[in-house]
Amino acid sequence: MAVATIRALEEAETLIEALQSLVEMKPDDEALVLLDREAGEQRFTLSELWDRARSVQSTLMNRGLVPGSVVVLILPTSTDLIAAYFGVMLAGGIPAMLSTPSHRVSDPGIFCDRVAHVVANSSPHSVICRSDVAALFEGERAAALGEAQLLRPDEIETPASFSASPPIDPETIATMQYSSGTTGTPKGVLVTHRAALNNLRSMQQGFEVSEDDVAVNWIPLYHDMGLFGAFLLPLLCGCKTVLIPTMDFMRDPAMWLRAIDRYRGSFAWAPNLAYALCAKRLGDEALEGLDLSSWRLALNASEPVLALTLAAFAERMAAYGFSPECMSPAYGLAEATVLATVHPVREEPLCEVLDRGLLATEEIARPTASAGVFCVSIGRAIPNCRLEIRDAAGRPLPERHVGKVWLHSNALFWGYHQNAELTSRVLVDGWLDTGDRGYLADDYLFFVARDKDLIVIGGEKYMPDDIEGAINRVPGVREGCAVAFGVMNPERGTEDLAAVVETRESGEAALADLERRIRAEVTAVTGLGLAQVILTPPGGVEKSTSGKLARGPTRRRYADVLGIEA
Amino acid sequence: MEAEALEREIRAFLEEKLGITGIDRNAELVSSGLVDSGNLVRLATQVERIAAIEIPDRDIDADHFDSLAMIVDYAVSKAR
Repeated sequence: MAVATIRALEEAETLIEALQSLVEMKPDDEALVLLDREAGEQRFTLSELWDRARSVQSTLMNRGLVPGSVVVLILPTSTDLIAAYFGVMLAGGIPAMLSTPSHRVSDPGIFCDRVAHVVANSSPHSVICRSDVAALFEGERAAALGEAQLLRPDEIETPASFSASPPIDPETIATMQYSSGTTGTPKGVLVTHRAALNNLRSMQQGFEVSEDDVAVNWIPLYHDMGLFGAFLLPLLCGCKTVLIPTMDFMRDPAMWLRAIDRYRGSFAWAPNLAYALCAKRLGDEALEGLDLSSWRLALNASEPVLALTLAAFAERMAAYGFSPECMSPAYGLAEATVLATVHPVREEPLCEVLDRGLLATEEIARPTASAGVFCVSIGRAIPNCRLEIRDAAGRPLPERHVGKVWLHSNALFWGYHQNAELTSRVLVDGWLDTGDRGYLADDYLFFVARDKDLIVIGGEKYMPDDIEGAINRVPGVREGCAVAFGVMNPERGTEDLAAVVETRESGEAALADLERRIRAEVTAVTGLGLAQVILTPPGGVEKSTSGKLARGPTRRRYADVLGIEA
Repeated sequence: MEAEALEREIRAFLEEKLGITGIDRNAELVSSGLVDSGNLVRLATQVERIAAIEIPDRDIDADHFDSLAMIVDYAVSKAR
């Protein structure tokens, strides 16, 4: 039986085919469990999921969906979202998930602006969301939706008979993933059925997933790690798939660990922040009686993995049956569907201490016995994936030399939606420029830094331009003279947000007021708090010779004040 | 729980866990950027515990949690 269900994934040509053969194999299997703070446990059989997806398909086709058009899904983790995801594909459309508003930004106007940018980029046939989100688009904000129809889950009709699906082949776009950015042109990453299935199969082999595995996750499905890792991988391997809405985890992180205990969970994914939070913030009473011995694979990905966090988590959870070798740092990006490397299962995480001087001056990663820079390996290439470290000119570098990480695999994305120029910059001769810097040692990849100025907090990516744009809108700020960047906070296990801002204002009261208004604007736009704001007179922000903001040099200039290493 | 005791406990949480000290009871917390979305969820969870009430997700926003005074009013109204 186990072999048969994995075969569904191996032999399918599309995600829909994989799901359909599973539904035929075991229609009454309660494959999906949703654990909701309010509704409690809800179980769904594969045939129930399938029927609900077919209803979405039928409703969309009745509303005139043309194959190839986009449908935007703004729903929390729920069967509504899962039915809509497959239903859009069944109707020949391309599902694109976005986060619900409460999660990211506090100002509904800013949320609607973000949706408006996505709508302008993808011209969707419809937007599926619940009434509370639909209400945000009433009145003058209705323009944000353009021509798109608004569809609420309670408007999905179950037809008397299901109509046939339009043809879908391996090269059909299966999903569009919108990456970082709250303003400006969003990047829609297009992934074909072939690429998605290839990555799922490589993960299945790399993690040795079998039908007996149980996945327990709370990471959001609008994120590549949530969609492909926490949801499609276990579901299409025939595993029990337990999902917790992200907001519920944020309110009660112990809920995740209790669910692993209760369902005998064997694999789960989370960003480093979540492991730090469980290790440090939960009280003993929240962990009492837990048995985590079923947990064989704890994947740590989507933001830098800290050695400190790995040690703290392993130490705290040892009493509850968790073994250190179960933690597997991993690495990937939406442009490679999701996963590129993973630390081998049943091997303890690999950590090196590097000579600081050599790393800074020569970009060579040489281990040292004395104090130095800690670096955790993010694993080896998964099956059908190759890695190369290259210099700025694109020439391959030898082992232990830090350079740009390039990757080649059978799961690379098709392109950015309506952005051929950007696509051709990152996809060169079948190789993907990840924009990250690292080194290889014995085929193990080590992450050193991001080439881009992206800020990553709890696995969520933020463009510094968005945050700087918000700061620039505050009266009293010298426009165009603000930089934002991430500063690693080892205690929290993720980055904090910091900014250096030029102003001509002076006097304690005026500066305190300006700082307050800057914080308010940034929180309204991103939902994030600014951990540190440094106000300086003109000239305090570093710029390149061509007048561009130089975030790295500014960050280094204020290293002392920020409490970081230069 | 009495409103005053509730306020004391919430203030203690803000000071000890979020590092927000010496604030006026009407000072803006969310719309000033002092409390970000992650900490807002922590704060709400704490208020649930202290006041023994249930707070639905849709109420966790600046309309209900923007100041100490608003939080206390909200918790008292829910506790009734």
